[in-house]
Amino acid sequence: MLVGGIVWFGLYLALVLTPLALAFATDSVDVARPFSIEVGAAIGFIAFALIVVEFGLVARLRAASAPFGTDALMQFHRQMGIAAMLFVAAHTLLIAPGSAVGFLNPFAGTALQRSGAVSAWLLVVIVVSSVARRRLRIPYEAWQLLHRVTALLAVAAAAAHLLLVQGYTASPVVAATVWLYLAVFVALLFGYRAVRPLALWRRPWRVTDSRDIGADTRLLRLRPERHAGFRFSPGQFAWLVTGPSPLWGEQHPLSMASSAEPRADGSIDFAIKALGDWSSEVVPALRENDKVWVDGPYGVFTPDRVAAQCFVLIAGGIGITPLRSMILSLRGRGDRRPITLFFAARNRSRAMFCSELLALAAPAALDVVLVLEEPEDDWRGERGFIDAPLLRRHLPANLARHQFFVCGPPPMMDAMEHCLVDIGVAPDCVHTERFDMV
Amino acid sequence: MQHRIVTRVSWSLSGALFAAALLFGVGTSAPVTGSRPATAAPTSDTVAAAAPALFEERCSQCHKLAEAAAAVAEAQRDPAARARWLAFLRGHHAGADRDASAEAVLELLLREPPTPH
Repeated sequence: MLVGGIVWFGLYLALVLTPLALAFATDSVDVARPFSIEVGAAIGFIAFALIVVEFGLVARLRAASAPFGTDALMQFHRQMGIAAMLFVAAHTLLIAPGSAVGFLNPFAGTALQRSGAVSAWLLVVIVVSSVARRRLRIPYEAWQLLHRVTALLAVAAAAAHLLLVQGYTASPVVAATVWLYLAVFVALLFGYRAVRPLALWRRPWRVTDSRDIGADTRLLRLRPERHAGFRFSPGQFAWLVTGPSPLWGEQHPLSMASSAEPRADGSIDFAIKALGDWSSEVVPALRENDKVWVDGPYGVFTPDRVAAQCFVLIAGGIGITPLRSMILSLRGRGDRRPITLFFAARNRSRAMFCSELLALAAPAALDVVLVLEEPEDDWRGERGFIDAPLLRRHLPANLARHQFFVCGPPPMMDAMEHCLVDIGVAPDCVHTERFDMV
Repeated sequence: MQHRIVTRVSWSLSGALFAAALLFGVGTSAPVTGSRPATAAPTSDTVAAAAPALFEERCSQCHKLAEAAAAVAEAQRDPAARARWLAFLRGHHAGADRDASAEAVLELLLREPPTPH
């Protein structure tokens, strides 16, 4: 995995720097220019490559995500998107000092200026709508559409801008590289938006059960229709696609909630909490025998990839879903390694699967520590939030052979990462899953 | 943990990329080496002579600017044309990113308007 990670990171770096390196090598600008202009041009090349390669990070390329995990790639995609926007801002300021504001008018100037301005503003829209989606009250589904359309237009405008400059891109080699990047982008897009959905279309799933399990959450059971479904590792996730077809349907990443040990009919379960329009309206409206599609499995948040003598699972709210899959899978395989589950919820009624997990605890070497933020009056267990003192109370002093899996809301994940280091857990023994990034 | 690692990697990489851009700037900008002609301190006379060629060479895809280049030469002789074309250049070519030489020419034209003969 380490070698794979180094190879993929090296490839990413090469892709980002290749246009710049070719510009340097061909050196087609035969008139000396000021340092700031040259740095600005270089930053422009880097920004272009960053923008184009961004899509590759989230195009669900299994080989690329295997060493890092899909959620890590999504985080990287997000951070590098912000970096690309800053690079574009720096490019504008360096290239057009004193007239950057006029240069950013997408309705005036030459085609060169307008394409640059359009690309820059689209990038701002992409970053702001992603970072502040909740504050701006943009529904997730609307954001998805906005993100796709603006990203596509931003890449097109950035490429047009670069080709119109005719500075370093006057070199046929550099211009051909820009076209090659565009061709790869289009090919990835075609694979993502056409080939993959068409492959999914041939492998439909049917809803066999849809139950309200409390805490605004539905448990959805899906059975593969005329195919074998797929095998997954506990803790992995898949994209659930609903709608008329995988080509036009809405898709959302969801952790499998059921055991990874295959059922006879190949069915799998998803636990879906009502958090947005899709989960509040579309999911509850799904009825038995409705057709959906499942693109998966993905992710590296799984105990199957680590060597451990004991597992510590830390969940907050709906973050229990992949951890439930881990517990059911390990016990289903007859794996007797001790598991300690810390489960934070507002109160007992918001702790989905709680009764089931407590029932499993006694015969299955499973310790369940329920931590309630606003418990009922008769609650005798832990209350408040999961913190270092609470973890110390329930865990042995020596944690060297423990592996920690954490899934929950972002603030809780941040807090846990600090807490676990504080109590002496090695960073590489902490595994997290974040999908709540926009 | 992963979140912090990804954040550190992202921003370290961004810093490294920025450093690469700076190195590029060091390698390609003045002081001039090899066959690159210097444009560091053109005089009014050299501007007058070089402007059309520079504009035509560097802005070859933009007919208006090529046209403007010819007009700049014309503006050396005709004060009205000079004023008209300087205004045009100021509006049309301000901040053009591809051509520092043209910018240098423009800046010099604006700073030291050529005197009509």
